[in-house]
Amino acid sequence: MSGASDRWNPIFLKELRQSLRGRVFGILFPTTVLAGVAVAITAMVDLHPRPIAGPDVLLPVLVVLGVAALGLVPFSAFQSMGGEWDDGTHDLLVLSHLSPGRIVLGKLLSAAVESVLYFAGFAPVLLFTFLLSGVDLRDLLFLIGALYAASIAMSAVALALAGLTRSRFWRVVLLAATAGLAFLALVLGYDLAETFVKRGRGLGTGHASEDVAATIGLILAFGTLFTAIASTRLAHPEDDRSGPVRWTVSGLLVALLAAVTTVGAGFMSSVPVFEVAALVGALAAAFAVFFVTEPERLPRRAAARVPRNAALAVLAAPFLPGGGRGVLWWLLQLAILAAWATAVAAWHGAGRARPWTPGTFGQWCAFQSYFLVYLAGFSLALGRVRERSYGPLAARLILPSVAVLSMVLPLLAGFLSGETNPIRDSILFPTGAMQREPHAPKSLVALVVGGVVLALNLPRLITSFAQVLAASARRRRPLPAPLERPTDAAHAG
Amino acid sequence: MAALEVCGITKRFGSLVAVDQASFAVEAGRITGFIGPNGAGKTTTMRIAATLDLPDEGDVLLDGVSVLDDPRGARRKLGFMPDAYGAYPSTTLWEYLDFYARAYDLHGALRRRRVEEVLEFTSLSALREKEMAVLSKGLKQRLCLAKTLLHDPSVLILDEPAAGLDPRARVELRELVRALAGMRKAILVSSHILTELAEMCDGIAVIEAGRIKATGSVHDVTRGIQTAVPVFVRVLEDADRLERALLELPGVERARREGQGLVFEHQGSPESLAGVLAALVAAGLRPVEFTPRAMGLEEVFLSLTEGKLQ
Ligand SMILES: Nc1ncnc2c1ncn2[C@@H]1O[C@H](COP(=O)(O)OP(=O)(O)O)[C@@H](O)[C@H]1O
Ligand SMILES: [Mg+2]
Repeated sequence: MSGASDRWNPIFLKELRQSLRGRVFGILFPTTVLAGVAVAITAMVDLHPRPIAGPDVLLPVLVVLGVAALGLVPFSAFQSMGGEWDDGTHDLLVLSHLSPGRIVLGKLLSAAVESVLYFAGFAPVLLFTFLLSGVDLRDLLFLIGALYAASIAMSAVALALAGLTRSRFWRVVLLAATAGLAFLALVLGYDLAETFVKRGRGLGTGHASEDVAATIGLILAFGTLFTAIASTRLAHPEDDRSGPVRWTVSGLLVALLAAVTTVGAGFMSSVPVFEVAALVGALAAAFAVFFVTEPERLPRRAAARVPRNAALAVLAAPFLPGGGRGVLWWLLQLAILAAWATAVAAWHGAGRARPWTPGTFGQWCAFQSYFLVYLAGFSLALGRVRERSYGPLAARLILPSVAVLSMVLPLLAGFLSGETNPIRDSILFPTGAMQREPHAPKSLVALVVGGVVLALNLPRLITSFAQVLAASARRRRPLPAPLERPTDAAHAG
Repeated sequence: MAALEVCGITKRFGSLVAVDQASFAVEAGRITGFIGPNGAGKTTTMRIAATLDLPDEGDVLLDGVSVLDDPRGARRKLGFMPDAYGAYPSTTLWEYLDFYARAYDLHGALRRRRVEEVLEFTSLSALREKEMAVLSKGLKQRLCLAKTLLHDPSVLILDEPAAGLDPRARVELRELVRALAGMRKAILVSSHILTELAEMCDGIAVIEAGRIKATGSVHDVTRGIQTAVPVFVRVLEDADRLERALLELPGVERARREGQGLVFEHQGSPESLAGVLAALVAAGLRPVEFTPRAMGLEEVFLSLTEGKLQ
């Protein structure tokens, strides 16, 4: 493995060598392929009196391949990342000249190769099901391609989750979470395959565009997001561990809006502007939980990369680590959403169910105020906790729990007291978005509460900008860092 | 400028202050022993110096590069051997070193040459095709050291490298470390067992409960705290008579029995010590042993970490 491989990713070479030599793959691979063949034969035997149809054999075979591609391959990726902790090689890797991105890429590449081997092992069976006829070649190729891409995306998820913690206990929990996600992906994939090859809504029929877009979108989104998360987890704590994820999420949200706009304009009579703006805002809030709970300080390595130009530094601020800058990031996403909604409303019409008008814009703001209270309000209240080493994690658990409890508890209370519409009448402060008819007074309450929280956050937001500007200024005129020299006295203490 | 400068680092874990304002320096070509009981904060300090953990205060400079401001730059200067070093399953020595050489961006002929060099240096060439898993602890330790040397770092930080080694492996390790110091590398070696370091180090830094108690050359530290020299003396006559005679002499403090002789503590110049011997002879005693004991690292350490002198 020298010579030609000289400049290959070392992690890739190592992982490949280990997994091919490892006993696990040597047992799992033949077992899985045999299971695929067995399932195909069983399906044909079951069908026996009736004529054998391709789809009836293809679907069970795809399930077995899906278990390998979405379960076994990510599992081995998870183990390889977890193994670096357990073998004590994690620190050695981090200390080498490999960048976190190259480490993650190497592991992803080896997952990709491992996955290819499974697909190659299944190729004869898949070809056979195709020859049975009844399956459109385009459908088959798309499903296989999507499953392969999903296998790599799922491996990225596994790498990111395995990289989160050194603790074996938590890693077992995270492995269970990975398995849950893989199962979900398998169910979704099965449904897609069934829709394509059995329900007659495949690629040839002209009904499949939305499914195709959603599939590709989901795979790409999960893949890129978790690749970004996996590599930031390997970065030095004084490095920017948040920015790459913020950029990725922003990019994905914009891509989502673009997709909705084109698909909506093409297939629906008009884009549901308000609903999309509300939902994407909520989605952004879910990600923002991670950003607003970071410590406020600008890490030293991140500070050393702030743009020298003050204006650029201000523009980049929402994408730099820090809780206050997390709030800025979220507000920026809302601004992008509002701009998008306004532009689409002007271009394609304001939507049917709830048109995008100045009045509903107020309702939308009221709806987002709800998130503002949790994101900006509670993260501010938890400020002292967040500066502790366990703080961000604690805040990340507390924030969503409070948000969910504050919805569930009134709901429960409303249910027990016999309310007819508990969600609408008992929620902390109901907003227009949850009601069929505009409900001006309550929306107003939400807006006022949101305004107060924002005002309370003002010092924090100003500090967030000030830190960035100070870092930028320091970069413009580099001073020798004042350092405390070690004392030359032989005795200390 | 010292190759490794630890500048006032403090590290807290919750309410526990694991390292408290620690400062010391290691010059190029010198071996400094980092000594302290278990839990004193050695590993914490070393991991901070190795860019793996963050101090709450202070900084560490490797060849003048700050581990906080430029961890990547600092890592190029640094070879770190953690206390629990990793091994990959089903990997041969050569593959292990080749992998890390690639990870350190060594390519082509240069990479092959570096791998050969470090194998040679650690006398592991003959075992290159052996799997790591079958190696003894001492050989694994040497392999890990070989790996640490691949990118020719100027600062070496070795966390408890001698722990669990048999005496022979320990001697071999000492020779290797000495040879590395001869190559002008600055070396920091930790241990909680003094004898492991005693013959290896040019200087020591003693740490207890996160605080640096003393730094400097072994000689300086020893002299700095040594007030009384223990002297072993054995005479042909009765030990009681010896004790009575001794305690009347100037500069002699406390005498206690040890084996067939006595150990007394002497305070004063070598001339005064010679005077003690002469006085014993003059008193009609016939000494057959008279041995001043230099304070060993062990005693230095005990006297420092008890917070008082003997
Ligand atoms: N990650 C950690 N979390 C909490 N306490 C720690 C952690 N690492 C070390 N400590 C504590 O810090 C102190 C110093 O530990 P350490 O540096 O490993 O000591 P040494 O290497 O000298 O034996 C010990 O009391 C230890 O329990
Ligand atoms: Mg230790």
